[in-house]
Amino acid sequence: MKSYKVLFVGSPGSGKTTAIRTISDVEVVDTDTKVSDSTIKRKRTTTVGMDYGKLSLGEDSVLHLYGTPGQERFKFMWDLMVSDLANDASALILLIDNTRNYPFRDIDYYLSEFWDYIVKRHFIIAVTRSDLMASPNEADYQNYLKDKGILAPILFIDARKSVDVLDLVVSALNQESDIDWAEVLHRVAMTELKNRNPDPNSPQFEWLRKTRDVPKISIIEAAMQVRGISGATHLNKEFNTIDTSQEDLECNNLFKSLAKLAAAIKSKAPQLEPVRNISLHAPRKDSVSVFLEQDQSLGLLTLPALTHKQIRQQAEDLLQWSDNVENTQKT
Amino acid sequence: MSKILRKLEGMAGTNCSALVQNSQSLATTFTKEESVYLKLSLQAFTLIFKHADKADAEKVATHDIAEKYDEAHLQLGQRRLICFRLENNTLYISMIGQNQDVHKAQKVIRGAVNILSKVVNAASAHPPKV
Repeated sequence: MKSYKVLFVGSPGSGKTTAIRTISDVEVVDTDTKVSDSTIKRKRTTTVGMDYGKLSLGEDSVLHLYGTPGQERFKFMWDLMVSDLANDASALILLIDNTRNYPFRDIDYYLSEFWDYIVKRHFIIAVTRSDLMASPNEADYQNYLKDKGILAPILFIDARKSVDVLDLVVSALNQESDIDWAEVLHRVAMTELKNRNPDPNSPQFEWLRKTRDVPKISIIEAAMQVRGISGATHLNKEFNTIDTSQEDLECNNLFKSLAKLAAAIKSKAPQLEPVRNISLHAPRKDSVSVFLEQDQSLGLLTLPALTHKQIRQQAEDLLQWSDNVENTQKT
Repeated sequence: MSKILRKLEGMAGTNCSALVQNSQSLATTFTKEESVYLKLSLQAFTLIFKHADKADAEKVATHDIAEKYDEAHLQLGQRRLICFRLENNTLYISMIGQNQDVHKAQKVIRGAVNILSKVVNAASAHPPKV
């Protein structure tokens, strides 16, 4: 029996679990659990371990589908999968959620994290949720990769559609000439049709209930549900408060002062890279951090026990999903 | 003094560092190319602590605030500058790359703050003869 492997990576909510579930012949082994951090803004559940599915490619070949957990705090699982479970995978498929505020930053991030793995395998970018957000478009992605000197197929897909996901797999295994893709496609499409079970008590409906869209909440509400964050303020491009959990005027003024200082540094030293973050710490005092984007800033007051890495992960996730960003500013 | 800075950098995993008193560099391992980061961050950290102290001062009336912020970070693209406020208007500024362990650097430097203060005090008490 010949076996192939493909690894799906991407940000939380980009559709890794859905894509694997869509084409897997077997019930997907997932480790989804109720969301407990800033991901709550987008989905009810998130993968904490890994996803695994399997697709038969004929009588004597099988494709193993692996999905990493999206959140950076489960990075140890990425290392485990790259070095062990999916070490002999043929391809890495990077799913990019087009509704995130800075999708190109996700590409940079995953390229940097998985570079050693990517250079030895097929690398494919799959853009999801473009039905909800059309920009950036295919040409934007192509130009971005071209500027970085990277040649990779870019496919816009709906992770819920088996034909779309199978397209990715075909692209990943395109060098394998002995696979009857027409047969696989027919079988997968038939399974999808059969699975459209109207029975509301079926497992499929349970999954739909689990993953249906959640009502949107503000970036501040999402921030305040994160353990360790005791205050948050969202500022716009002009450093005016959009929303805040803080009644403490001094703290809000400090957030604004630090954000303005970052802008002053940028104008004083335009040759340097922009300020992304300023923070203040003391052993027995809440830390003050301001995270800056070109069009918004987020000020966070966090418990001293929280590490800088933990704060940064949460802040970057929150800023990726805030509703304050203009569509034209997606880099 | 540069030798002490180099040793601390080795333990903390930072790339370079400097001790600055009253805006004057006492010792530095920043190269000529990197000195722009030192100059810029020195001005920035001075302002950051000033803003923090101002916010604390305004809070004092209503809250019990004994402790001052003594550590500040500035992330400039791929580089992170970490500053610790020592005694006598002295700052210890270090620079660390994106993939370095910030938490480790913070812990190691914080553990060395008292030693750095002693080094600065000794140097101030016995300035080198010209």
